[in-house]
Amino acid sequence: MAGRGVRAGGRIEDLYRAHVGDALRLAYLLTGDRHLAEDLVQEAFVRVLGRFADLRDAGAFWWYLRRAIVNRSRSHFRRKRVERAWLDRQRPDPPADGPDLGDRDRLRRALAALRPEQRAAVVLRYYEDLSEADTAEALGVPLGTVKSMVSRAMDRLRDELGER
Amino acid sequence: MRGVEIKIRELLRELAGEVGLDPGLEGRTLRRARRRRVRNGALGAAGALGMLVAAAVATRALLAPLPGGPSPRQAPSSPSVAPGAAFPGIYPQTSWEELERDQRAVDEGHHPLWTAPEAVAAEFAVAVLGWDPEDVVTERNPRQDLGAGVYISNPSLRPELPEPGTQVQLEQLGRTGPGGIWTVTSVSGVGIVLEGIDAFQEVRPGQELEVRGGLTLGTEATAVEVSLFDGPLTGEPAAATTVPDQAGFGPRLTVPPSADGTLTLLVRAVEPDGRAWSATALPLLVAGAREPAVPRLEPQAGLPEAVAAKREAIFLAAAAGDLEGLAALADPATFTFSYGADRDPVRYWRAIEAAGGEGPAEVIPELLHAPYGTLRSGGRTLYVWPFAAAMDDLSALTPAQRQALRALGYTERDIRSFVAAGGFLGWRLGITEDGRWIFYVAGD
Repeated sequence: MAGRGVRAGGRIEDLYRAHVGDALRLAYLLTGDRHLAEDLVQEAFVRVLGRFADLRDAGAFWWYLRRAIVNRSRSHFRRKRVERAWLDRQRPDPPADGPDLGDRDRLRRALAALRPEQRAAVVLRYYEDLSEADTAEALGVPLGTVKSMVSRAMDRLRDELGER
Repeated sequence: MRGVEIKIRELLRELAGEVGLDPGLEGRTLRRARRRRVRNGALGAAGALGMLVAAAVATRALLAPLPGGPSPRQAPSSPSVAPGAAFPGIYPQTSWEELERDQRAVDEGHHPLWTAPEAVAAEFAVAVLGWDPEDVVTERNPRQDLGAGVYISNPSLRPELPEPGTQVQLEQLGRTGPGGIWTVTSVSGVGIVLEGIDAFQEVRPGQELEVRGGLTLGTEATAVEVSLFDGPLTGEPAAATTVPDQAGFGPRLTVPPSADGTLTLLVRAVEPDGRAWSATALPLLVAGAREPAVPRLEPQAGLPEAVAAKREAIFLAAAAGDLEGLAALADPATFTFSYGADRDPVRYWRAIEAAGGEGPAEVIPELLHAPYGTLRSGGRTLYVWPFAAAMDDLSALTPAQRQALRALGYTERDIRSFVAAGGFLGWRLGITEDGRWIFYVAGD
């Protein structure tokens, strides 16, 4: 018998394999947690593949997937905030202990300290290389809001990286 | 300035490179995605919405009307709306699959507050109304004995609003009792009145839905956002409009199609800063025109009528996940589904699915789209899918045939193994020229 007693379908594997790496890296930057990133990516794929199985324009898939990942990460952090408020005690995730690995480590800590919306704006703008207008569309907020979020976030990142 | 931006770009790329791909993720993700596609498509193809509407509505009991708002309906706290019916929840879960997933997460120790209706209502206030978590005040409605009613209010917004506030209606749609998670099923906004529209009202894609109503309190500087969501309320609305409230509102929205047969109507009374001081949210049922996510079965040239009819019947049963119906289509005297000692095809297929493999619901719809081949046996013709199952020598595959197998998910390594074994050993399906389904089997 062949190596697989069951076989996979063709197209959704292609979409998955073409985008899973990018999706995971984006989710990791948005959350700072690889397990959470995997969960978010899985949720986003299931949702988008399930809903857009007949997508005519395969190029649009990443647009939908990216949006789903960003929305899910925002929902996650919103939920965390509610839980903290509900329990009436602050439990911020402390920065990971360990040796200072330099700028990358400082950026990791600085990203974790940003508000989720700010972090998403920075990641979409400077990692995904989206324009400000596209970042606003992906986040579902006005252009002016993106400009101010990115500006404030970049100020904090510059401080953390000692670039002032 | 530019130098910092370049540096941050580079650091972000380095940081992103830290995360590796878990090889098990692909299987888990694609299995769930296929199940969702097949389920959506089967529901659409079966046109079962009427029954689903009846099932969902019939299980609901009318609650006592709330002052100033519509009359939310709710189900008994026992899980009488079975999975397979339209999902009646609107937040945070919007599908049975999400409900199952989130219940599992809670069982594993995550999100313990999802078992508290007050906490879920508070989360709704933050996520959908835009309130700060620290501002949310919740109060359980003590008079309610079905499900849970939780009033939410925000002292930093419109202090003139009457107590106790907006009522969030929640139900345990899966497990009931301690440990079961709560889902918002409707929201009745303080100071918002809707006319002529009710929870579980049936709408049709393309219909112009008039959302008529008015604000009874605090209309100054308030805009009314009216949206229809096909999915989470925290996502992008499928249709939306914003109107000022001047002695009432009545915008019209074009009803979009729905992937799972439900939409959520959300009406928010919005402050200039974007926060909503009140909101009403209702599930709507979308009749008729759901888009099948599974491709329809296209006719294939050259098939005798009996074969084409049986092929279509097998496809529909498989796509609907109806394993008993599928087994009933097989020729009882000759059907081969396993080379083992199994006698019951349904039990065998269920065992495959339980082991995480792909059952007929996932394999057959795509298999029947592949080109077919023919074999002659006893003076009769046998039609087989895929074509490769009718070939003796797979080393002679043309590039187009090779591509057709790859489209079914077979790799070059799989194909080499078939060549070495002397024949195609993947899932294959055969129908005799007189329309008898005689095998659906893999291996040798």
